[in-house]
Amino acid sequence: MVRFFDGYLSVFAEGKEVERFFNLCIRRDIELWDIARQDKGYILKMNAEDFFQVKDICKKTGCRLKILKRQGAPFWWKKQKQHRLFLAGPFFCILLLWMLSGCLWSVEIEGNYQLSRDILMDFLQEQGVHYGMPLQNIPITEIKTGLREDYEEINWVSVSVEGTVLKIRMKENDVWSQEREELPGLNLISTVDGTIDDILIREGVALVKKGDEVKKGDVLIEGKIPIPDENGEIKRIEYCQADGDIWIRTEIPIEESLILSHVEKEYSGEEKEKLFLEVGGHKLGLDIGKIPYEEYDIPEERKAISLLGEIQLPFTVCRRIYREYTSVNTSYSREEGEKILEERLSKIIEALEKKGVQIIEKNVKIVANSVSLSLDGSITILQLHNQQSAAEAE
Amino acid sequence: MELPKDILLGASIITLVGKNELLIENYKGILDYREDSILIQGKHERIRIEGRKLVISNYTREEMKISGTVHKVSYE
Repeated sequence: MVRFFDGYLSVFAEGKEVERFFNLCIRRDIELWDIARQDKGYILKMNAEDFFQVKDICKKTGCRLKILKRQGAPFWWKKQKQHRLFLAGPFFCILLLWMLSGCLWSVEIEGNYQLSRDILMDFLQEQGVHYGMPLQNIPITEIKTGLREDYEEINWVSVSVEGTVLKIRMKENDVWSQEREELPGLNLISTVDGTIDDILIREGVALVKKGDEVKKGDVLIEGKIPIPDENGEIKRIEYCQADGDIWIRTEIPIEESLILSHVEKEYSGEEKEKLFLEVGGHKLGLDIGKIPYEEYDIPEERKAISLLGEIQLPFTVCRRIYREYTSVNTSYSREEGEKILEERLSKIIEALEKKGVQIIEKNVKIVANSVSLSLDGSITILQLHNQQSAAEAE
Repeated sequence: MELPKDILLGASIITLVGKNELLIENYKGILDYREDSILIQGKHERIRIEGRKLVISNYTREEMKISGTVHKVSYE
């Protein structure tokens, strides 16, 4: 290792008394190593600085030395000076990364349901926040104060910078409790056409009873309670927020059809990949030529580049795959068609159940003709109404 | 106290590791060096090392290391 840092030479020695040359060298504490016989002379290695001290020994012993190779750090460094730009490359790369990691490249907002991301981004822009700005210039306190003052919907907000990401976390006010405080009286209205199946009043006056037919928009429970005097006449009206549970039976028509003949994609298995870099909305493509397929799908994968998970850089690597297919005219069999329609019906029922309705009857059948199949019929559901509308009780 | 023989007698010390490495201490210099034979001058005697592809890996005033295939070590 020491030899490498000091630099050493591979030398070819020949002459009359080469062995004597070796002996005189070591007597002067000049180290020699890897001495081997070659042709009519010897190859050996010695420290670079010692080479200049053996001139008189060479003269004394009648030897000639020829440098074959220069090795070690001093010689390597001298050679690398010719490739200054190449060596500067990693240095500038690290410098660029260091500079980029001090700028804002991403904004994450969590907890916003009433306020859209666009509204909040416009607010940030008014505060002077933009992509590429130095992190230390982000006015965190002003953003926090501004959000709380300008937007009543926000109950609590936290603003922080993590890596190159500005993170805004917020908790919004509950819409319903806000409106309850503000409006004097609220009615409970129907959102569907149907028949009243069951009714439970907690507050307000019911305008319907079990068995009544109602239409969408009809008031079910009124948010005002008339207070009579001793004579039975209305003395005054007290307003309240109508509250209760009303089950409405509704029939939902089901109409789904499926044309048996259709075009299917038959994938050949051939695909071509294109990689490109997206920087600030611009695509820098690494093109691999024209796409040789007539028909193809283009699924795309995107991955933002970040360092250590927190420092987001302004580059996104995109991978597009061109998958060849051929359009084939084909037709579903009766069984296949029925299965598809049954799956669609299951999805409709699943979506209804997720809304909290109860399915009480299914009257759906599959009707077939020469070119298509269709679902015909209806589903009877029980839907709970317990959300007040925003309509004021007059 | 008994002094070591190499100091007392000026004897050369030869250390042979297997047949591929040989270390010599206490010598005056190299008399003859060929690929298959090296002749070294000790204090009172000459040492001949015979073998194949003999290379002097290290050569200083104190010690010499020879590598290669050693067949024979003899005194002359």
